Amino acid sequence: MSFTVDANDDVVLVERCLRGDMDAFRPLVERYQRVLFSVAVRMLGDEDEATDAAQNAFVRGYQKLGTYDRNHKFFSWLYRILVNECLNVRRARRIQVPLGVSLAAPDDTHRVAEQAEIRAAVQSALLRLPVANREVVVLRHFTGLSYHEIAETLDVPEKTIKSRLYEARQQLGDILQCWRAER
Amino acid sequence: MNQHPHDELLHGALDGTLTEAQAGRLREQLAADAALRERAAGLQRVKDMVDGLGPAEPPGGFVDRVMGAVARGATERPTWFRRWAGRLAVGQDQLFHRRVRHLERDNGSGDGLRWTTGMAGGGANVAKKTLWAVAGLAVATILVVVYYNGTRSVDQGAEGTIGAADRYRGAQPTSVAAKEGARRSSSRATRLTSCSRTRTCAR
Repeated sequence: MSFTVDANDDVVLVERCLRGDMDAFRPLVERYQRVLFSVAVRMLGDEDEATDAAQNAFVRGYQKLGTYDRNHKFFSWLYRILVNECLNVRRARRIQVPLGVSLAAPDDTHRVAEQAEIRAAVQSALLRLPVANREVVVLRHFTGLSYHEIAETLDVPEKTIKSRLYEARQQLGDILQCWRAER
Repeated sequence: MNQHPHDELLHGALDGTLTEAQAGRLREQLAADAALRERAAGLQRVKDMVDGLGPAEPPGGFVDRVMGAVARGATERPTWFRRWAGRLAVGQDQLFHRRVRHLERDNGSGDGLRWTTGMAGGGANVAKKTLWAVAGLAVATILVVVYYNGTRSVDQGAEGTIGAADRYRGAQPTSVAAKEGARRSSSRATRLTSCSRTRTCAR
């Protein structure tokens, strides 16, 4: 999954919001809802919590539009707000329900059930990664951002991004190999 | 974690960032090294599995919900609150319907409750009252939860100040009283030690 947007268009919409046109925020929500929600789901592993985190990120983003630096990508700025919201949700978390448990109905075919099981295992493996590694994997695989864009979004050197991504994939491989062996 | 010497090339190939020259070099190395081929296959599997998760779709009406929250200028209640309020509501609902089924069974018919008739010597009236009581209890419980989670106690966050004020208002012990207190505690401690040894404590 990847998304391409016109950064200038984002800035124009932000300017309109700042002039009091709240409706100008709607296209921004429509544009980024999917990617923000996907990132939140993969980071938190729970769709209800991801919905809350993504919604709160948009609301806080709107409230703080005045602090947005036009020299940076709007998504990068919004993503940092989302990460804080994800952390807030995790702090408030009481019960963790593994994602994908209910994906396969009892009367589904064997193949569908197996795919659901694999998805659940991968999501579970993602959640076992250190947060710093997890977010690089999530940004690379679910937003399609380049190494450079991820570095800009996370405000760390590109070399660090590569190193975290390599390490994360290695860790995922190890976890999934164990899972396969235990099946 | 130590990086493999070919990581840069392998991950670059996975992410499609290699130049033609780098890709050619990797192809040569893969052809000559079975262990590297195995490693490349493993990484490709991981990438495919992660990609296989696919994008997640936000729930229907998400944009309207966000815009509504933006318009209200406030975020919704915390997750735990909504989750528990929801569970409570579901629980109350189940209780209510269980009671209805129970009463239907008691009435000996599957055609629902007779709300308004005076049949069976007022039995339906009793059933009606019970149902209203259960519904009232459900509403009251929800209101209590909303109230206690939505309002803040007037002295919340001021405990330190109130405690300090109380201590200030209270009579302060004099040095003589303090000495007397210390002497009594010492004497009591001695008595207790003696008791535990002889097990003949006269209370």
